[in-house]
Amino acid sequence: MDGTSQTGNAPHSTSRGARGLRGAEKLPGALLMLLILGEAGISLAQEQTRAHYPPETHHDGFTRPLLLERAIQGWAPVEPTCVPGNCYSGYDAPPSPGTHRSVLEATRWLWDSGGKYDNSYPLFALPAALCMMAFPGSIVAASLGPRIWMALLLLAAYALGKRARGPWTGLLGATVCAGMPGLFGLGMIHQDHVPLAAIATAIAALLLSSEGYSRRWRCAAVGALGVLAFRTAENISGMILVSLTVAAPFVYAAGHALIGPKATRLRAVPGLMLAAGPFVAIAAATWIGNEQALDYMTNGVGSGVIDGWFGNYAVFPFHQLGYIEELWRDLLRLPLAFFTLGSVVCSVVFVLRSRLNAAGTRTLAVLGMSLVPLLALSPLHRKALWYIVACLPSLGVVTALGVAQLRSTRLRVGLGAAAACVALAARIGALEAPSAARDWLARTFPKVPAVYRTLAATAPINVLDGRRLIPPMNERRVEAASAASIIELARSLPDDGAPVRVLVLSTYVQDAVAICWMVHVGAPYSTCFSPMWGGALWAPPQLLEADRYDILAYVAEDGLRPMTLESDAAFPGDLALTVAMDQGDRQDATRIFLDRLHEQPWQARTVPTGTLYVRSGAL
Amino acid sequence: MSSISLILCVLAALTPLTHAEPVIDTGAPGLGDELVPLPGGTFPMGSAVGTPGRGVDEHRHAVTVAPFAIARTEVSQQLWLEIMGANPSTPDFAGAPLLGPSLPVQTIQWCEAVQFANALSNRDHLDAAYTGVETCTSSRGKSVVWNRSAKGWRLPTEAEWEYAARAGTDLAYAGTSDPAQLCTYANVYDAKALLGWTWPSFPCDDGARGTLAVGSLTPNAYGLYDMTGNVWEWAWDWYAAYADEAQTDPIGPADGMVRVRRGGSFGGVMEGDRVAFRGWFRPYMTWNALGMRLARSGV
Repeated sequence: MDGTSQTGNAPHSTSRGARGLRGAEKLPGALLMLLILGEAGISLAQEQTRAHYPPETHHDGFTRPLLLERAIQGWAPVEPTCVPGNCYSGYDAPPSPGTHRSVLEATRWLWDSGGKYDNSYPLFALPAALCMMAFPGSIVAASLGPRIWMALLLLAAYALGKRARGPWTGLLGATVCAGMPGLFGLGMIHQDHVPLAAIATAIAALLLSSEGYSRRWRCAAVGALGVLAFRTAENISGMILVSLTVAAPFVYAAGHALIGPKATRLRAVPGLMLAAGPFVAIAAATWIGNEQALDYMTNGVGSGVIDGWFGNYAVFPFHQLGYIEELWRDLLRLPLAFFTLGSVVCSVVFVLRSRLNAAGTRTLAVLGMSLVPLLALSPLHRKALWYIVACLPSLGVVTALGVAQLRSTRLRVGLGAAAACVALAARIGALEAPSAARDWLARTFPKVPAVYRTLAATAPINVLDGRRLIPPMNERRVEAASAASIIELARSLPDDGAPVRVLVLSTYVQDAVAICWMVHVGAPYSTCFSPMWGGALWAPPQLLEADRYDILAYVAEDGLRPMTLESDAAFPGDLALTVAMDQGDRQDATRIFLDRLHEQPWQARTVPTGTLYVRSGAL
Repeated sequence: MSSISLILCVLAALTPLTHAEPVIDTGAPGLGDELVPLPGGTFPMGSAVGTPGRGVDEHRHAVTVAPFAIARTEVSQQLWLEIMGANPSTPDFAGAPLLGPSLPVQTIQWCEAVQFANALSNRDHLDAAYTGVETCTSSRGKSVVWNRSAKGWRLPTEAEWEYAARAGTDLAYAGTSDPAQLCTYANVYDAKALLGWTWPSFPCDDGARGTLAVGSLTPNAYGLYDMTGNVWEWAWDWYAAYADEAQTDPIGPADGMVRVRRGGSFGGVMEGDRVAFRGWFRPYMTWNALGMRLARSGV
């Protein structure tokens, strides 16, 4: 850390000074490249140690490469391709030359979020999907998307810190960002939020260095990034996050332009329009005439969303009590507390040391970018922690700024090095250690449910309400073996040109998503989804036709086992909880669908991890 | 206070006694507290193997029910409001209106349904059918005990409900087996409901997207309205598999996770509107398509 109060706009008056600065940037720049190479190394390590295992899967993020890949390949979508709440693998017809894919359909991911209020789209999956087309079946493709966004995130965080306080500050900010996946749990960060974080941070970096909107190419880039960020957000909470994250540097930069001389103001107008115009236009197009989106947020906060996650709050006299409990749990989350407290301490140092000069206001904008969404988001959504991920880059930069403000060089270097070591150790340790660490903590502190919930919430897969659905030591092996069994069966079925359709039932969607991903890698023309997450609950009618599946797998603690009707409610316990929490109509539809499945002539086939069911006569 | 005023007050206090017995079989649909006495008898409960849409839990078996009375209509929001002082019904769903005094009450827990039945018994000076209703929600429905000798208002058992819905027939729905004719008898998920569900709808038009006023359509052969459709109706029983052998006045198991609901609704799947379909729901949860119908013993 150089400790200089270098301002972002300060002209480098002498060539000697410029050479000195370039020299000072060399080492941190090189270290930044090392960080990025480290991300690439993680991809390679996963290729070696997690064969057929999707790296850091979570939620339905890994269904999107499949969607996009198939769209690009020209598979005709079935209607509805997407329904409110989610998009599905609705591309179930092989490419048909001459009749498929209009330009509009091929670019659907750019303009159609797929639902009235769910704004997901597969930007995150784009690099992975393109790479998969080039190298079919390669697991590297799966990790490419997150790595690209992670690299962008590190570069943007570096630029932000460097612009505010210098290259060493930028490097420290980027290093802290690099540690986030480890600190927050692999599963929590690798869906839409990595591109969201990267884009939001890049916007801030571009805005803060755009010299009052005088550099129009940067303003245009900000506008384009703003649109991407808005479209990347998983849903309304994410969109609000993006807006808030962008707002602070945007307001700063706009104010910086408008309080200047008249000539500066006039020059700033086109840049301002370039930066804000696309974002405002796409936001207006999304919200105007779409009041239901707001209903979704208020309803979600009120009952439904909270009901489904940690427990059933219907027993509370008022749902607000359940909400308060949920919020309290959020506040107890250890990683969040760690980052928040650290950032606050560093922010105090920064505020005490800073004068309201240009550099100060700039870093104040970064501070606002970090803390405003943090404070605003927590009450919004049960998944607030997930979305807070997007403002972590700026939190990291704020932390670095606070360290840079310390008077003592030794203290600066020592604290900065310690923060970097913690972040890197967490990142490296997150590759394999979290399961063992979580298990140890759970055994050691069994009577601290809030802490355990915190740990469980950061687990990537197979944990529901503090209980592991698959034994930790075996989870990846079991999933891989299960997927391998399905792939083997799929390949042994008669090939009549139609894709093999695999139905994976699971009490927890992540299990099914992970296995589906592995099945798809091994048997690209299989169709595989879990009806428990949006499938039967919001499924298009054709997905509820029980006789269209060739292989039925039920994912449970032993990997695969037959689904039984022995439960008094015709569901295994967790499944009943899942489907009983909301509309009974969907509950009925799911139940009838499962009944029909069991009326099919399935032929049991024993595999090392359990039993698979194959349609009789298919083998 | 003058003696005349005192007499008037006494008369006013005694007035409810003159209405202690509910009106029986007047022929008017009413608000949910008008009873149709049924003679009891034996009927085939469940559905035969091979019946279209049959669920795996509809094992057909003979059931005998004792004479009882069941409300001509579902409980209306007006009646609920009069007794409970507040209407818990959801105002609308997917743009379909669900709020109105003559519309069926919905968004009520099973626990609230038994509390309502007791409150109505109190109004009519009848013995309360249930004890333990105060702690129903916190006990997740397990604290409620049914005093079967009481003549107060109560929920029908699952067997009573199906007996009443079938009305001596073996039709798929209450009143008909023809999906195209069902809208004459029932407010179901028809082609014009437009609720956003992705499952198939009935090929008819009942004239409503949401709920209809109780007793608006054609009753079944027993003169009961909306035994199919409009809103689901809570039954007394915990959900469990049917017994194999014949049963007499079954009331379900002593404990369970979910209570039975019957009858289908304005937005449900087609299979769910069949009189043999067995729905269930947690007794401490609510749903905007789930209401109730009253019954009584010894009328």
